[in-house]
Amino acid sequence: MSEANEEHLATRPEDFAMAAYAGGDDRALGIVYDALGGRLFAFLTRRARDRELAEDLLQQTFLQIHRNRSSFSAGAAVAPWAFSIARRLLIDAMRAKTRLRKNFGDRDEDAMDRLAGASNPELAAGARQETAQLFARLEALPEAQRVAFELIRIDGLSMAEAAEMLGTTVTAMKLRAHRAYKALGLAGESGVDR
Amino acid sequence: MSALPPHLRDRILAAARAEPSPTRPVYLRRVALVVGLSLACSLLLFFGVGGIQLGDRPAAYVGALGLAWGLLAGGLLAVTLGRKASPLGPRPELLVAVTFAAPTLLGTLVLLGKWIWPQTVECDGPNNHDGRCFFFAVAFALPPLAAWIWSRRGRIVEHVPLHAAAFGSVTGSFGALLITLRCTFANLSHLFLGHVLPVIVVSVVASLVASRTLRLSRT
Repeated sequence: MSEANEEHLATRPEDFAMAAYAGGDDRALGIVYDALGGRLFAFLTRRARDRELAEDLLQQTFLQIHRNRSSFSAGAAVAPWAFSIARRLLIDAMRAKTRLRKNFGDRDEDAMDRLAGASNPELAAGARQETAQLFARLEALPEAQRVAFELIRIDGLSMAEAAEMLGTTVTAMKLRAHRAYKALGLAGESGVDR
Repeated sequence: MSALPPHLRDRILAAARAEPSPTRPVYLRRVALVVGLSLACSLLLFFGVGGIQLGDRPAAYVGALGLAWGLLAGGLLAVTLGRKASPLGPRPELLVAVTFAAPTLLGTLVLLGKWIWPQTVECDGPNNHDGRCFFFAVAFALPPLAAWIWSRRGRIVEHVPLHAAAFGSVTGSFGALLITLRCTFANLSHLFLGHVLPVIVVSVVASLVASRTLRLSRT
């Protein structure tokens, strides 16, 4: 195995597991689930604001990954694909239930904690209040910048993963994220080199 | 905090185990078979209506136009099929570029051929051949387009109409290549109406039809 492959395996074991699963190793789906399930569930819960629906959508997301495993080839990244599937299913579900609301209009506790915790490890009431204000400012951002911020800062995707998911370039993604961080007064934490 | 419920893992893995899904090697074999059959259908039709015919056209003109048109269709196909093996496919701007590049470049090649071989102006024919060539160009393009729709049904997550339009342009270029090898008339208006216009029409039809059939579907 090359050095680059070893490094990739260490940092993104889910990509190798997904390639193995596409090739017929049925046990590998568990590894993909362990690597992505939590992040996808947080992504779905925050947007759906309904745990039951989020559980159902998480199951649907993994079933779509399972059904379409033949679309995945070695060397590809599974996270952008999985998040895109989850997002598509979420949009369809919300439309079907006519419950489409503006994202982040009413933030959930999880996102608040993560965002506040990231900028202040010792989360305090003041920090939570600041985070609530931050969410209000986030809502005022242009769509592209807001989504870039959410995917990178809250959902934990890398620049490359977020760019692939949204069908844009890493450079454009960095620019959107940088502008969002700047507008939110977090320019020092942008981490655009990830 | 939205912690992942512990029962979900077993439930999801059991649901996946209960539902058969083809592995990648199996899928690739099926796709190869279906694409091969579709190309065979197009070629059978092509040779059924006469195959390659030069008429009064210079052989070098037909050969160069056919080769350039084939390379163009092959290049656009490569762009449409993949971006670093990502299951999400190419970026939307690339798909748009392919959709518009196919008819534009084919038209440019027609003009270039006319400039290099001006004697092809003499290869004229009755006007009613426009409709016949249009029909056959579309007919040659449809089998590979149907094969692609079959292979991608329920799989495309984002930008479904753009994927379909781009692939429609590619298969339309393939149909245009075959009709250009077959048709002996080479006046400009005929080439644009009977050979290049079908590329646009196949692309639009593909986009409309595929929007419903290709989108990832929830059960």
